[in-house]
Amino acid sequence: MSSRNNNSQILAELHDVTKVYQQGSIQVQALRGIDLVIKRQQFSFIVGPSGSGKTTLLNLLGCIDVPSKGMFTLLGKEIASLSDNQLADFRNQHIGYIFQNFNLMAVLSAYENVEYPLILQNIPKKERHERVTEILTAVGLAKRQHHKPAQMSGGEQQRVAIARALAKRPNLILADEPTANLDSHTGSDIIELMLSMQARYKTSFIFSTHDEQVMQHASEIITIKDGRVEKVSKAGGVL
Amino acid sequence: MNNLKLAVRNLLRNRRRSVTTILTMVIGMTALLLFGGFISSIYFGMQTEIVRSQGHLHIYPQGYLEYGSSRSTDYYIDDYKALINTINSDDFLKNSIEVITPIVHLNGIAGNYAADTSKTFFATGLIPSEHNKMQLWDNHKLNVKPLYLALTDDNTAQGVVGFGMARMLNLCESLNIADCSDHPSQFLNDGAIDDDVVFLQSLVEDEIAESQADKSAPHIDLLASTASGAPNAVSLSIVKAQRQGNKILDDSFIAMHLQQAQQLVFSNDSRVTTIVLQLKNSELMEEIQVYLEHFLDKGGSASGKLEVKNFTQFNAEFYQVMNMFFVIFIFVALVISLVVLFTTINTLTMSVMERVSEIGSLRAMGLRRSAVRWQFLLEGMVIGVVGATLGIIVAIGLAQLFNQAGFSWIAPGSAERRNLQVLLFSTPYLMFGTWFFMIFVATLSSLMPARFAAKMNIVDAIRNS
Repeated sequence: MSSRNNNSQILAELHDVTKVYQQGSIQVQALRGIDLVIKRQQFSFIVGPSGSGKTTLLNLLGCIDVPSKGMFTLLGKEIASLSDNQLADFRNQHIGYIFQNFNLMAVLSAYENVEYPLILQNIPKKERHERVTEILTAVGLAKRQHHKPAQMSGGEQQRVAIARALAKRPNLILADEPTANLDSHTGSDIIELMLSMQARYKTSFIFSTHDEQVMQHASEIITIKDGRVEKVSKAGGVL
Repeated sequence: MNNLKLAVRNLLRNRRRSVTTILTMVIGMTALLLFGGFISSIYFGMQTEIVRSQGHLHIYPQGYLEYGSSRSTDYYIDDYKALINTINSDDFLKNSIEVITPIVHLNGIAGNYAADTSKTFFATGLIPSEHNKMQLWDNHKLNVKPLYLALTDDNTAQGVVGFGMARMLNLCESLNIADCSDHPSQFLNDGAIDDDVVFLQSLVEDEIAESQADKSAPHIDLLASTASGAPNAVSLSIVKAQRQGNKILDDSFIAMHLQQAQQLVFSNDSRVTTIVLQLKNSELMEEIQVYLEHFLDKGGSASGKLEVKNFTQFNAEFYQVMNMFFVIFIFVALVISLVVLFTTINTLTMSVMERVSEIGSLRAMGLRRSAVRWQFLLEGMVIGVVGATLGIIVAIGLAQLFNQAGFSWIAPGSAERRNLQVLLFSTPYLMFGTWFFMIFVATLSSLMPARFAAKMNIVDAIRNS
């Protein structure tokens, strides 16, 4: 019973995970035998210097890349065994993304950007409307819902990106340096927003960042160096 | 937000590029439709002329087209009136036929002995009123002027010749033909003629002396061999010269009364070489041809086995001309589709390149490869639908302007000037076929960029931003 409870609390589990990229005739080993367990509903940070492999690890955790070797399970699923379509469906159901450059669809309004992942999940229109309105209100953009990304500031665009990631109520949200392209004040606001959203929707957040200031909010900090986990430190963080 | 709406918005993202692509398609589509409409006008124009002068279907003794003109003893339809009555007794045939009329094809030598000139001829013996009724056929509403023969049912001794035939037989002055002059008399060679020919000529002159009906009109003498092989001759009063579509026919054409032709070839008025059927509607031609073949097989004929040929079979030139235009149309369509293909590929490839990070983000959010592929295919399809539809609208407008401008021309195989038209609505499959073809080409063009977008590595695509 206790083991089952432990398993149900585990978000991701990586054993001896290696990732090798082929760049021309050179093989680049981005991850070298990662062993890691990440629990659910945490606000985890992956930190490390440039080229340490944190983005590669984030890509694996986000199921947009697969390990070259080793075992990786996410939400109890052996990811390497999934086909391309199964992986897409898995991402669609369970994972939300917040990108450094926001990556909103330029031709869609804030409302439509947030609604789009829900359409992919075949959620009925009425429910979509309720969810989008709720989440846009929560991120403080209810009045800007008909604006296109080009008509919004960087902070507003990132809020839309957060709303888009949260709208489908995923188990995990990944954010790759989400404050890197924002000024420090807006960056802090965004972190605050994500913390409050995490508290509200009980979603697991995994960040990659260089910003030591934002790490004070973490419940867990995973430090990566040269493709290996150097240390995992539990912080006061949230929850 | 459905995929179509998204496709339209993505196309509007770079309006100038999308408009240029659509414009290329509109121009291509318009050019193709106008050319197709022009071919349609040739097709229906030629068909109308053939159907008016020769009908849709011919009933022949079997093998007549291959051997008949040299063996009139063996190839004729006997008791043709009974056969026509039998055909008219069938309700389906009766209701489908506009005109059914017998004709005799014959050839021989035509001479204007007063001018010491002669010429081989190719003649048709026909019933003038029925032939002229055939000239009213205008199933395709082309408003082409009917070319009535200047013959009447009552006067069986009259004939009409081709323009070239009139010139060769020195009939230009006597028929008052404009732009036509008789051969200068100083060149006439009255040198020695073989005795046999002189004898034959005197026989003919004796034979036809009695039959000269209209002394006031110029007359020619026709010498032909009868079905039994004996020489026979008649005299015709030539009332008019009518220009024919091609020179060979124009130089040898004679139209005469059926009875006169029967006398010349068969010495018998119950035989003809061909029964001509003009149908009310060309669309049913093949169906009626098959029906008629079965009908004739079942009913039998006094002349043995008969065969039915349609105008594409007994008039090979029609098929050849239309085939040539069809091949040109296909060639032009291929060239235009290549231009459209590469323009659309270029537009969508640029669109994919501009949206690499967006594609990566969508894939990361859970969009399947097939959905990405479909999104770009849809954009190609939208370009196709908009371009092809606008192309139809522009083509209709230009065709209207062109048709109202009143250009005219002499079509291949035709003797008369007629309106040069672009007929877009006469062949519905031209418009819809071209519309679908253009959409297909645009969709096909998007296949490569769509595949490229769908195969994109998500990590690389996101990194692109």
